[in-house]
Amino acid sequence: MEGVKLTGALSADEQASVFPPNERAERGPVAVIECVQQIPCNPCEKACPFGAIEVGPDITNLPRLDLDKCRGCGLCLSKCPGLAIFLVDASKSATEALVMFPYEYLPLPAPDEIVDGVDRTGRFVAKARVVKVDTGAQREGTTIVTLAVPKQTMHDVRSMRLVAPGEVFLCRCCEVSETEVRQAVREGAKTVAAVKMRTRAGMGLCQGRTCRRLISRVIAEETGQSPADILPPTSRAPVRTLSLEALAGGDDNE
Amino acid sequence: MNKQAEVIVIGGGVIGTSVAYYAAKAGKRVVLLDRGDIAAGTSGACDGFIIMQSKNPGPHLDLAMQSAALYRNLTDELEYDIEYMSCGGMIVAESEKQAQLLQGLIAKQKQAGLQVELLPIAQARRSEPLLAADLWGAAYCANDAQVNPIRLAQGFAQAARRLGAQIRPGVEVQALLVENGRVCGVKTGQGELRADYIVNATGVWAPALLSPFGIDLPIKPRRGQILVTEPLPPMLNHVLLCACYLIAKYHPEELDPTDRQHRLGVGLAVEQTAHGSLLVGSTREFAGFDRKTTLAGIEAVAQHARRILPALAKVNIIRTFAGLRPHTPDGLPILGPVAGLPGLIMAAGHEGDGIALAPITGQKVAEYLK
Ligand SMILES: Cc1cc2nc3c(=O)[nH]c(=O)nc-3n(C[C@H](O)[C@H](O)[C@H](O)COP(=O)(O)OP(=O)(O)OC[C@H]3O[C@@H](n4cnc5c(N)ncnc54)[C@H](O)[C@@H]3O)c2cc1C
Ligand code: SF4
Ligand code: SF4
Repeated sequence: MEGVKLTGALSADEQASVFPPNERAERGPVAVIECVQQIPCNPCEKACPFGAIEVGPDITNLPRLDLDKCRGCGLCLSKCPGLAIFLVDASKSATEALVMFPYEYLPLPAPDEIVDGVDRTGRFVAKARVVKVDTGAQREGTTIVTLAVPKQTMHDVRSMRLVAPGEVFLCRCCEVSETEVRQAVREGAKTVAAVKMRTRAGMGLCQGRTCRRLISRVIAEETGQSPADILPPTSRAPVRTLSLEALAGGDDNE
Repeated sequence: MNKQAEVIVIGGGVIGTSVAYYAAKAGKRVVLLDRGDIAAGTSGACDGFIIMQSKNPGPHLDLAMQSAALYRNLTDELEYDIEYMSCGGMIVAESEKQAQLLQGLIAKQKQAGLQVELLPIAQARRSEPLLAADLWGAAYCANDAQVNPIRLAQGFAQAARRLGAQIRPGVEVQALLVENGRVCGVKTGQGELRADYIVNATGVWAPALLSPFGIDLPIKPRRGQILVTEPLPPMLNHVLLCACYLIAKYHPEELDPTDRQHRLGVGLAVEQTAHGSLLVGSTREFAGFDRKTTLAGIEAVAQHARRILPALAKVNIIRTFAGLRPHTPDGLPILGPVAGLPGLIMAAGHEGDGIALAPITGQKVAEYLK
């Protein structure tokens, strides 16, 4: 079985349901909202200054993108707490496309650096060139990286890996390094939940959304299993952050 | 078949790992088995209060005070950071009526040697400024502390291992082996294992191992749901409980069944962990072995938290979880030998106090393993 609930990455069907048609990407930049779980969350709706994203009054609805209204400004990327929004742009060249994504790891890449473009599970897809690294003020701490990738990979590349990685934090929120995760797996932690218990990886702000796949990949590498067979940790509400008063309900609610 | 060990401990929660540690320290050859992993059960889904003033004077408070004394140098002893903080604790009273209830308890606690003071709200807010100004006040005890339960279990397990214990996650005990009227080993998914003593430290799951012998252990899972906030700068100086927590715990008959908060047994328990997240709990519900959180449960907890600590309204909740307290009818754990089953030692049923009582439980149970 595949799918975001099981593996933390979109299945082929789920991907197909969120991609804009290639013609749209050929016309210019457009958002790709890879949000397929009905969770109570809607910051993307307000983030878009052009009214292109609609969630509606029931905030567990999936966001819908109006392809004509979307101007590809990219403002929604850093407002999605689930890091589920990307931007693709196939209009700039015949062979290359631009892919923009939130990147929450350190160290950051530098413009013009050649990096590994990786897919939703952290697997290598293609070499890519860093076009822009935006840590601007309106990004509220989420860095947005733009990569130039071979056009046929624009639906696959969703993040990157530095080519000569130093000590990378797999779980950035809790500053757990890849070495620590490997160590935990060698000591017997064979599931994402077990790694979490030993290292805290996945317990931070992102609640494992960023690191879960990376941890699965390390477990897969260490144990020889396929990443799809590695049990994800149990995820419980609220899946995206909500304020305490929003949970409590009541008068002073928005 | 050879004896592989002198002691088999079933269960890798704070209780089982503590027993394994103190037994190994006493020179025993110990094997600890858990069907999941260290802290996979309740000990990985709870708060970390080491709270004295919530305990009933008598054996309960005595045990807790002995445990608190062991905690003081446990970090050094285990050579592991269990995130122990001796922060002091407050039990908040919303009303005059609750304050009177606390007053009665405090008088008895003082006789037992525990110093607790009842502070009017203005005074309580001087050291805990986020408390709502319209509360009645709070009982303060400097001996209350907190710890990270997951790290506690890991710390015990690793220290036990250094003392020669075998720690084996992923091994499920399917049955106890009995020969000549004595429990002499366990049957696991990976074969049989024998020892002089078998310790049942499986928390809420403990009755299952005894029911084949017609023994009905009175341990029932009592669910607690907790909210976790984003990491925040230091904002709480103490571990906080509210008096309803004590009412839910000791006088459930005084709860109003028409009030949802009361029905779910919500008594506020808030602590700030070493990493900055606040743990905001919790409910007390009998819902079988279901570890899911419910909307009604987390709403009720959030409402109560907002009442006691209004400043938390804007704080973001990043996760919720639920754990199962091993509830017993008298609130006391079941420790020691079991009549009719020599060789078996119980260490389960710590309800909402397993963290506070873990060190003393390990030490006392190790004394039975002669
Ligand atoms: C919401 C909540 C808040 C709490 N807050 C506090 C607090 O602030 N302070 C405090 O002192 N206490 C608190 N408690 C209580 C405390 O968490 C428990 O008393 C304690 O964790 C119980 O530990 P244990 O080792 O007995 O059980 P567990 O941690 O559940 O360990 C039992 C282990 O046995 C294993 N197991 C079960 N059956 C088998 C089998 N057949 N074979 C092999 N392994 C098996 C399980 O996998 C599990 O790991 C709280 C509890 C809850 C639910
Ligand atoms: S890219 Fe800009 S226009 Fe398009 S959806 Fe996002 S915010 Fe709206
Ligand atoms: S996860 Fe992101 S894309 Fe999905 S609804 Fe929330 S903000 Fe919008």
